[in-house]
Amino acid sequence: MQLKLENVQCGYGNKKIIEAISFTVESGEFLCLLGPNGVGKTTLFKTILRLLKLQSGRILIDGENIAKWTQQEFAKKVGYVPQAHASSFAFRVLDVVAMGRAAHLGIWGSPSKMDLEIAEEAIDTLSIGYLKNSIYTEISGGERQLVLIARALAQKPEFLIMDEPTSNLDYGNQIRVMDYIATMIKKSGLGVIMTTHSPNHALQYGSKVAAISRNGQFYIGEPRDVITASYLKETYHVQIEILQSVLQDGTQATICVPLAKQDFWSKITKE
Amino acid sequence: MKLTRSSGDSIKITVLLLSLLSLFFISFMVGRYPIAPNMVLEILTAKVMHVAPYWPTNIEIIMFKIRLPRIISAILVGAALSTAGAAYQGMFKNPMVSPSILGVTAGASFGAALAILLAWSTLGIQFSAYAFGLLAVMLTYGIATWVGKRGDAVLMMILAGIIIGTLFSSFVSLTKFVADPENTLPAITYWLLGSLASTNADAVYFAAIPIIGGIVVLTLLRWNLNVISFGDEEARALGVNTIKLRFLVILSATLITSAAVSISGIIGMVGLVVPHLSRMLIGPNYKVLLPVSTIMGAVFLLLVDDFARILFSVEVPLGILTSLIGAPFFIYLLYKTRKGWA
Repeated sequence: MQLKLENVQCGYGNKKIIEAISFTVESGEFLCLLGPNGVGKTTLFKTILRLLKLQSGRILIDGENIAKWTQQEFAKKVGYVPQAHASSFAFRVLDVVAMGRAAHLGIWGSPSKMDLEIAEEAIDTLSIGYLKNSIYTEISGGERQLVLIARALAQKPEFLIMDEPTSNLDYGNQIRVMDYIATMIKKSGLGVIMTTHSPNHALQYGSKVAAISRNGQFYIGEPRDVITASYLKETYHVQIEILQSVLQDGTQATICVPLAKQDFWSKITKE
Repeated sequence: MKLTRSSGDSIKITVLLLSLLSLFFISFMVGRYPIAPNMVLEILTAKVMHVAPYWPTNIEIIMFKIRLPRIISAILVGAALSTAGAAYQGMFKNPMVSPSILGVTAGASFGAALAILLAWSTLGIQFSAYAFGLLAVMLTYGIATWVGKRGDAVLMMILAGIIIGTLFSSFVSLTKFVADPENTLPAITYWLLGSLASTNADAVYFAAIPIIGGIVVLTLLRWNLNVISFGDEEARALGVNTIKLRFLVILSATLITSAAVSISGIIGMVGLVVPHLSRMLIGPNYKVLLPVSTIMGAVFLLLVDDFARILFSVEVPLGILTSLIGAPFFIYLLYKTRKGWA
């Protein structure tokens, strides 16, 4: 399976925010999308998810233009994991996950026994069976994020789009959620596009990295080739050093470490 | 776990249905002219099987010409308001929403007030109320879709509803202002208070069609209300056609609320309190919440109407009574559920 963007241009109304972006994601690939605030990552996501109108270009799934697909057909192929949020109502976790079946049920439908089994399977994939009967509004932010991933899995898509799944999480939960996502990709063979603000997550987990710089420049490639000290400096106006290290378990790791310096502040005030 | 849970749900629903049934019988007995329980049962049986009547015919008239339409309208109006309220609370992802949010009640009130001013018949008043209720929501929907093309559709809907509601409320005031203070003004005021005292059978059966139809459609759509309560974009990303869903929900809720208001006038709090009460009883999953709200609304209004009939020698308008009961009860609910919407 292949999700392909060809010369995609998007924005709100007539306003152009992102132009001429092309990339492909294959099954089993983990594409991390990096970029500063306000550069249009969310706009791009909303356009891929068809919540915003595509201004120009094409989006193809296995070579087929999705422009004419219904939202229901599209949702069977592409799932969406929003940032963990509270719900207005105290749903049970299993019921939240079962909502992932909506695309398969249609407007008049409701989950059958089989749909609930699929939901439970998705819950098991993320090893959160203990949450099944908990109340969604009463669990922690990290758990909620996992529940939303499980919901997207219950959708049985080929691709997943994740919007900063670690943004509201504490340090431990960030690592836990990233591990879950990486394991899930290996288990399920899904193609995943994820936005993140953490270059380290992209370096450690991504199989590919796409980066949008402040001036709208678009880079894509191997994590280590895209996330360079110069890219980070140009994009975030901070000094970064990229280190290579061999961890205790023998794996090779690339990490970036910020060098906080006084001239960083002077640069900010100058702008 | 799952099994005990769903069987617990069915016990609760059965108990609710049984209380509705018993309340149905009790409602024939109570009132200014009490009828003994065994007589109610015998007269009802006589309708199905042939039993030689030994009771005076006026009892039958009271039961079938006066009490039955009133019982049916209490059931219909209660079910209508709380089903619409429950559906709107999910769709607007806000537990504080009532069925009148899009201006239907204000529109219907103006329709009724205008018809009373023009001295139309009872059915004419009902029809006018119904038509203006629909008109108000059409205006709200139209404005929201026109203005809200690139904004938050749901927010636009609520804002447009507030504006249209206020507009029609001013029209009601204007009608009252020009009405004859001797007879027309009291008639308008009394209508607006909300009551089932003057329901006639034809009016009820006329309103029953849209109410039952709307409830059936909402019941068929109910599971998707769960999904849309997570917000429009998320529901769309999950594959729900939210424009179609929202349209169908608003259409059905408006048809039933407008029909309910047209036979009863304004009956407050039912559409707000009963869905809450149901949520406390059975949880927020619309698969069971919506039917429970429907039944509970019927039980609630039938019960309150019985009290309206027997409490004082002069009948208290039902709308006043529901608010008197509903307001403190709602404060209690807020207190109980302040941690989240259980």
